[in-house]
Amino acid sequence: MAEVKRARVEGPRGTGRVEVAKVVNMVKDSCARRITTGCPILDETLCGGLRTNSVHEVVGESNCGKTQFCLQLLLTSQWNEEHGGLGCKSLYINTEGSGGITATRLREFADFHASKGFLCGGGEDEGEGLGPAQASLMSMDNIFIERCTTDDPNSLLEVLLRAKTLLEHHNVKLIVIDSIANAFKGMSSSSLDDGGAQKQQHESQRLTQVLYRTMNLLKRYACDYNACVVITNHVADHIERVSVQRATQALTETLCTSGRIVRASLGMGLAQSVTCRYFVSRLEGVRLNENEYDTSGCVRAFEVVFSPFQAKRKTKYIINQSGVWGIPDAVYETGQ
Amino acid sequence: MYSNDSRSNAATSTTTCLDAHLVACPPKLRRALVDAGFNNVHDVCHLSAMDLARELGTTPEEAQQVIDLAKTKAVGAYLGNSVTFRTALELFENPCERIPLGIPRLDAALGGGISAGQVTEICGPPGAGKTQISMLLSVTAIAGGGSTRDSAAGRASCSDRGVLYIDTEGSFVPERVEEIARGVLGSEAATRQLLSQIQYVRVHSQVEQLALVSDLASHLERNRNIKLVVLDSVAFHMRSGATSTSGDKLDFSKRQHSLANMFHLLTKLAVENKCCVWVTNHITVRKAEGGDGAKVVPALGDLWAHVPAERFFVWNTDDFRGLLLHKSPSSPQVLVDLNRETGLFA
Repeated sequence: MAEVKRARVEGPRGTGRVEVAKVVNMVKDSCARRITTGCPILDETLCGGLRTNSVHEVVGESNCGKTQFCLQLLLTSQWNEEHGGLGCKSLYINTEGSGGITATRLREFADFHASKGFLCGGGEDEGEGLGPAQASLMSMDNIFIERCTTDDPNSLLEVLLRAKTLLEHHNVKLIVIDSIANAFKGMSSSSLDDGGAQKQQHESQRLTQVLYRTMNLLKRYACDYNACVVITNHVADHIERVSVQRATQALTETLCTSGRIVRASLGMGLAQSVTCRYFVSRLEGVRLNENEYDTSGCVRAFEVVFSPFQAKRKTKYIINQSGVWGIPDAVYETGQ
Repeated sequence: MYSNDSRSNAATSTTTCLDAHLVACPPKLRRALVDAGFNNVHDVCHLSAMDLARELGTTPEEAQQVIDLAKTKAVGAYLGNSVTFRTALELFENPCERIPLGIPRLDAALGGGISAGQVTEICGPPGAGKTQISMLLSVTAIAGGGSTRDSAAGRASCSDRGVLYIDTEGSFVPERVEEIARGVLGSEAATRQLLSQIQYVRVHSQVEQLALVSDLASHLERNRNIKLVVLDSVAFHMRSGATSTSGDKLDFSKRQHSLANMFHLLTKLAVENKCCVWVTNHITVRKAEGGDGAKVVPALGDLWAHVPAERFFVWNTDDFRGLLLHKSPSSPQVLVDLNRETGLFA
């Protein structure tokens, strides 16, 4: 993204020249790259993978595979470029407090990826001759994990401000925040309150501001370092009698999971500050042939809700020991 | 009682008896001019700096300053171009340039497209298609209205108009613009030519945005072919500093003032450069006073609401993606089904 210069700041009446980039150069240099998800079907749904220089939001109820999806990305981003990765390191910010489980599960993924020969350990040249076990351990070392489980969303902002060195000096090009909703949980509860004591309203306003600032910082990283940002978000029930929700619902698409209508947490403020939103949901009463697909879990759906560069698509996927996998539509018909 | 107020009274009296063109002088010089009996631009024009300095009791530099000011104003007055009057007929016969949106029914209703010389706004919920339509407009502005459907296949040339795309949210996707351009033009070379005419600038903060907008006039001065300025979106950075209760005590009235200034500059830009300023905006939900209802309104409040001359509203539900021309001084409301009438969201 070296082509794109920032507007110069020289005071309100500066006579500084406006530095512009020509779009034709941006296309030619193909400044934005893609990170594969590791699964061709999911990649197709995402039109080639997750684009860098963007903020992606994965919304879904609990137990839909948001975290699993993110963990997989932490590894696929390390793949070298011919396999569709970036050959980069990554930062995983956990706000949910399940740190131990994360590492164990990550190891499981890493073992699988290493056994397929996708991981070369360091991103640098030393990894060529490593065995799968070593490569898997080395790849774990390329993932920075930061826990941020306090109530104060400012601490998330602080973590992100500190993360600048990682982006600058450690080749980190993927930032995952799992989840943004938990970091700002004070906001959704107070905005739900229709009456709204004034103190609560102020608190909510303050949080909104921190949210905007956090998102702007993430966008800035995405732009300056050509990085990819993935955040996960929770859902809340859509309540028809709350007038604000009703008014919003009339203008947007319905999100449906486990047979109920939901909305993404953190409201319009967050929706307006992400580049694209994906919705993951559980499909009720759909089972696959378990012999053919190594899974005992349910079938889930992955859907592009909005995105400036992806068509609206939907695919079904499953989660098993080795990762998150899309299922071809044809197989799904027979499996039903 | 009178003497208490003498200072301010004196100040007003200097401005009242002074020629309107000389009021722009610094207060000190204004006083000196009045005291020495110079009331009119023409009294000052023919004097030399030294003479005037002697009369006023100021330095020659200051006197020169007054003379320069007077001369520029006097020339304007002689040529009669300080105020020009045009009749309605003249305006009617020389309509502003129109930039087509590439949506035939809407362009027809608008008399050819978005009007140059004014600010046009499009607002809607996230994901409705504001950015898509902005990118489409950037392409059709250059391609000259060849809508995807009815243009002859041979149309591979485009006008020499330029577009400036100001991206405040990072949602601009060059690959997507190329795709749209290729769909409209067909040929590879023409697409490249078109893309080279779109300038892009990314803005990362409120301060940058304000600074950029105030620098735009000189940029457009240098790039006279720019006929469309896209600001996507006006609201993002403005809203991030939006509350008066923030920790760093952002002065609310100061903020309103700088917003108003930016809005004014955008309008001025459109009028003076005869270009179209296309702005996307967020929406917000406003609860009805006392009642149960709530309605969706454009963000940034009343201060902004008066700026755009035309306002579009775009939204997307499960089975319908609509674009509504909501406010326009020249056209009745028009509702367009974007899924049916454009290939943009296929």
